[in-house]
Amino acid sequence: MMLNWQAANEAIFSSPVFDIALTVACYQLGLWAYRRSGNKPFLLPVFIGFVLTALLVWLLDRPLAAYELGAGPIMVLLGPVTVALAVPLYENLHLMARLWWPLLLMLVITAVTVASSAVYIGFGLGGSDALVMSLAPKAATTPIAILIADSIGGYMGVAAVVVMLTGILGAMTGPGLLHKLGVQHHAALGFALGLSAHAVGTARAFEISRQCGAFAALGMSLMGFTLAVCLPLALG
Amino acid sequence: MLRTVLVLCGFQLLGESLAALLSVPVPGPVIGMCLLLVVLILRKRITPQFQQHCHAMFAYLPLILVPPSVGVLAHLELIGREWQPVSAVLVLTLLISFAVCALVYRISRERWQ
Repeated sequence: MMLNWQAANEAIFSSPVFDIALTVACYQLGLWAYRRSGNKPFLLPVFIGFVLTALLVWLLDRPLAAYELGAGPIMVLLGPVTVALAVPLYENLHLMARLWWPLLLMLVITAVTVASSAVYIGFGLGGSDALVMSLAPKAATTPIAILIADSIGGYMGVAAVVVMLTGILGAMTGPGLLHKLGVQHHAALGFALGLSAHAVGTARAFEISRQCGAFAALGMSLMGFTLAVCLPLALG
Repeated sequence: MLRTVLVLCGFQLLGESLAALLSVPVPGPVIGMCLLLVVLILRKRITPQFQQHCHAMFAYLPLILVPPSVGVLAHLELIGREWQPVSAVLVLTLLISFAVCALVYRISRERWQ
């Protein structure tokens, strides 16, 4: 019997589940590395998963369009999961009851300064339209940021990576910096971490205290919500 | 689980059609999220199952974000060419964000207690 190795090889690479398997395998490796390292922010599963997947797509010389088509079924879930983000926002809304005034003030001022400084610094240093529009929503959590970037003429891929790096950098430096700047109250510390470093910052905040984490989750949701509604209307 | 998926897809479709109807550039799923939030606030309660399923989905959110991130491969040249604005925005806006938060905290300190 003749074994047709070439056909077997082609069958793997042309299978509709190849890109899904590749993505899930790389993500699992990232998850494993993250847990073994004791949850180090720069070993974030999504970051490692992204780096490994991108590296393999490049090494295998796989056209990006083929990968995106193959991994499409995973990407489709982005919409429904974004809708579901209403649930944590609803759960944490009661935290606003007693502190709504300072929380709202911090949210609005931070959202306006961060989004506008991203645009000003981006254009000021000679960034192109598409690049700056990919950077503008960087304070929003990744799923929301890439949807915003797409709707205002930026690139989803660039936005995703910039938001990820913001979260990692923010989670590593945020608690120390905020403490030095005089923010001791755990509610304020958490809220600031959520506003500035979204999901990674929230995970870091939960390591500080439960209250810190809950306020970070609230900050992340409110920031995503605010930018998602205001940015496309202001820049679209 | 299927009911949760149906509710989420329903709100997304509602959001997408509203965005098209009003021709606003806000992403459809985001409008869907706002509508779901309004419904939850008006009902004043959330079905435990729905809540549970949503959180189960969030466990996979990072995985869902891998494929769109890989899309950056198409823009490596752009990032290489414009690495200055990228890195400056990345670092500076983060510092600005923390500084502004700290400032607001300081002027409203007694309200946090």
